Amino acid sequence: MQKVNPRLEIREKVINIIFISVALLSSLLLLAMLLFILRESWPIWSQVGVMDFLSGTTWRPVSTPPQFGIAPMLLSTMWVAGGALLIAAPLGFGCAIFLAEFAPALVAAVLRPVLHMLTGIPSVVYGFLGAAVLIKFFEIRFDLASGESLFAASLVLAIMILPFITANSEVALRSVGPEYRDAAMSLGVSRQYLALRILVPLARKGMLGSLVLAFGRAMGETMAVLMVAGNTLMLPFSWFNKGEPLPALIALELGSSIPGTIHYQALFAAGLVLILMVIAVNLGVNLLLRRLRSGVKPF
Amino acid sequence: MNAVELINFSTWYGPKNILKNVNIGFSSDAITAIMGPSGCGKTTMLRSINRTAEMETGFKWDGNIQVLGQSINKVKNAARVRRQVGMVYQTPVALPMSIKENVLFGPRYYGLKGRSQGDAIVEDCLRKVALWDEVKDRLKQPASQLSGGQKQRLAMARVLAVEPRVLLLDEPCSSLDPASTSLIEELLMRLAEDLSIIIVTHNLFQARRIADETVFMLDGEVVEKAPTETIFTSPRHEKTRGFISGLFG
Amino acid sequence: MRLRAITDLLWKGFFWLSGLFILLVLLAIISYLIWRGGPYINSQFILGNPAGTPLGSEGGILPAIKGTLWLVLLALVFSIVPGLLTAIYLSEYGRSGRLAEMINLLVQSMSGVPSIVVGLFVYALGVVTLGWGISLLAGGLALAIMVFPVIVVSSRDALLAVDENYRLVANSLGVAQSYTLRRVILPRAAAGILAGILLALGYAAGATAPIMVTAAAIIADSSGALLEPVMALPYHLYILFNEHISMNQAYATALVLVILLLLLNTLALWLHSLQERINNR
Repeated sequence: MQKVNPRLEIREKVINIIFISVALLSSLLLLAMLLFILRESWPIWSQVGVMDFLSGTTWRPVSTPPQFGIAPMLLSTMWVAGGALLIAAPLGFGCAIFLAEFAPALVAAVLRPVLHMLTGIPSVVYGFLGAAVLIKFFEIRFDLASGESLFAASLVLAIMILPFITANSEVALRSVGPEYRDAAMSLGVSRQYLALRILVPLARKGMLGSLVLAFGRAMGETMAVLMVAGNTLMLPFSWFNKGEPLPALIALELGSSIPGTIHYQALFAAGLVLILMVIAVNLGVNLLLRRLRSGVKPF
Repeated sequence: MNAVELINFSTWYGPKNILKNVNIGFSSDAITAIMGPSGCGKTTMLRSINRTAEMETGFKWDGNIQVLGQSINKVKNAARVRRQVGMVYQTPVALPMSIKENVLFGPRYYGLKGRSQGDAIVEDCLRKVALWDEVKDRLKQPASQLSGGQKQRLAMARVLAVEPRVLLLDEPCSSLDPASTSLIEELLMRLAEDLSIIIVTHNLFQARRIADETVFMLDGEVVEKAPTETIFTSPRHEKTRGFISGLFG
Repeated sequence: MRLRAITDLLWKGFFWLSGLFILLVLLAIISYLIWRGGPYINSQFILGNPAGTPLGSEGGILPAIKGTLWLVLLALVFSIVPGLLTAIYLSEYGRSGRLAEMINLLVQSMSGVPSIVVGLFVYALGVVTLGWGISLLAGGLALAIMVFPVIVVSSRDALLAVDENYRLVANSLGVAQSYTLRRVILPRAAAGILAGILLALGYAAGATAPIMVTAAAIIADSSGALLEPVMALPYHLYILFNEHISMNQAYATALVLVILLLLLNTLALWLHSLQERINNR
């Protein structure tokens, strides 16, 4: 056997080890975060208890005795995200079908970069415009003292998640085999009929997946909701009430809380609940997508 | 001594048994052709010899392969083996770099002593594959501009540059025109003076033209191995006869 | 039959309108920002410091621009190398082993973590436990964690898109995987990898929540000192509006931020299509 430089072989082994270690350590970061937050929030779980924390409707962290119930925030989070989904889904699907079936090449070539750019606009700008324009509009049009509400937050969030729903749904629609299109077209049905009766049902798993992903994103959004949702700690009774979703709670109170106090720990508990909710949603999607044909990738 | 020997060699892709207890030897300094229907394991055999089959997930093997008397499949570092056993694939592939860099890709890895050694290797290998005159004025241009036949000859030059002792070819001419094909066949016959060549081919005329011996494979097993003329005119096995007459018929 | 024709028309109209709606939204956002904020952008705005009473109602946003640049630089420094190495592992060395599957899942999950939670983590770890205080370092770290999954996924996809034949041919010559990586795969995927890094850059530049709790201050020098708080464009925008300091300055700041991000996004898109063209050659 021809002689090969042994140094090259050792170097290769070292390189392999470096790759694996870095990959492993970096991805374990997620677990590190979870464990850290769990540890910081432990006193809450042991003293207040999971059920009381989640279902309690009063949040008075600095009163005596302090009360820690995040039900209003949980409700606000769900309402805001759910509402955003309600508004964005029809438009998102409609636009996806438009891109997949109806858009002329020129229009599509413009629309796709536009979608991409919409995702590039920072959430604080959406929140700012929502607050400066949308809220003002509500106040003037409906003669309100304050136009902030969960509904306004849903509207702003809807615009933010729309591009994601469209992009993922379009991919799902496009990955339906061409044989279906051919079969339908040869029967003389319209594009619309084909899209609604054949493509959408076949692509529904991917489209639903896009909704779930968008829901997860909407749950975790901070700035946009912070600026338009009203930020009250009371339990919201309608979409048009003000509220304070979990991310907003954490962002607003973390700086003023004193490390080591029960208030501080409660914020970590809220953070843990938030991240577990989002992970649960994401895992659900992953399992769902596993059952799909491979190759469905967003963007 | 045989250049390559497979001893009780079997392979699996997952549960599927591809090569079934193959025992065969390939002579040195000769051209051996392997023929057989699709799926009979010819490509797997080649890829086992140059140790690229294991890059596929689910690949398992059992048995022994010897190259020039030394066992190669238990060697941990497959790269060592691949230098000895050069392979040219069916699809002509030019690495995304200049013609010159394509040829020097292997040598650069092992270390070149200065520019003049590199230039010498490039000219030497390109001459061997009869490509020098066609590209000598554009060595620095991207190899992607070459035609299919030229890319395939470049691939052979690239392999020759690492000085292998055995050359494997997997249907190298199947996507080429007749002119390029006969160029490559001439090449192989010249190279066979110093190299042991194993070529998988569907083209029985090609086998008759260039191969000293031919192997017929069916269903993961070696059915027959004999001097080329013998296998075509008076094959011993029923199955071989069936295959050959099918090709004619 | 007529009913079918009518419903067909209605649906078609709906699909077209959905598409046009998206176009209108972007146009509306950009033009409104230009209309309200454009007049207030000048060299004094870009290069000057906040002034006036209350502070920020006049003058410029230079410290915020500097702060954002510092934050993004730190974020990239901390995340590019681990991100690229992880992506290379997933595309070249791991491929389909159990370990790679787990890492893929972990990285994918990380991209779903709300940015405020990343801020929470770095607040506890860096600001409090390690005693950095509200600082550029903490903010950079938070942003790095936030963009790490973006870099991994985009780089991994760029690497996987490189023609498999190249790897086969190169490895058959007996060279090591790292050599093939360095000479063939990485150069070939470079445009796509760069596109991903630019996207990560933009994402980090626009993020408010994590830096709000780890690094940002209403007024600061942003001179690059690691343990000092910094101003940042997104947070400055938030403060200008929330504290009712100046609507005009707010619009101008928003416009600067959006222009910056749109430029980055466009560049990333262009690089991405360049990569596609390279792959199809």
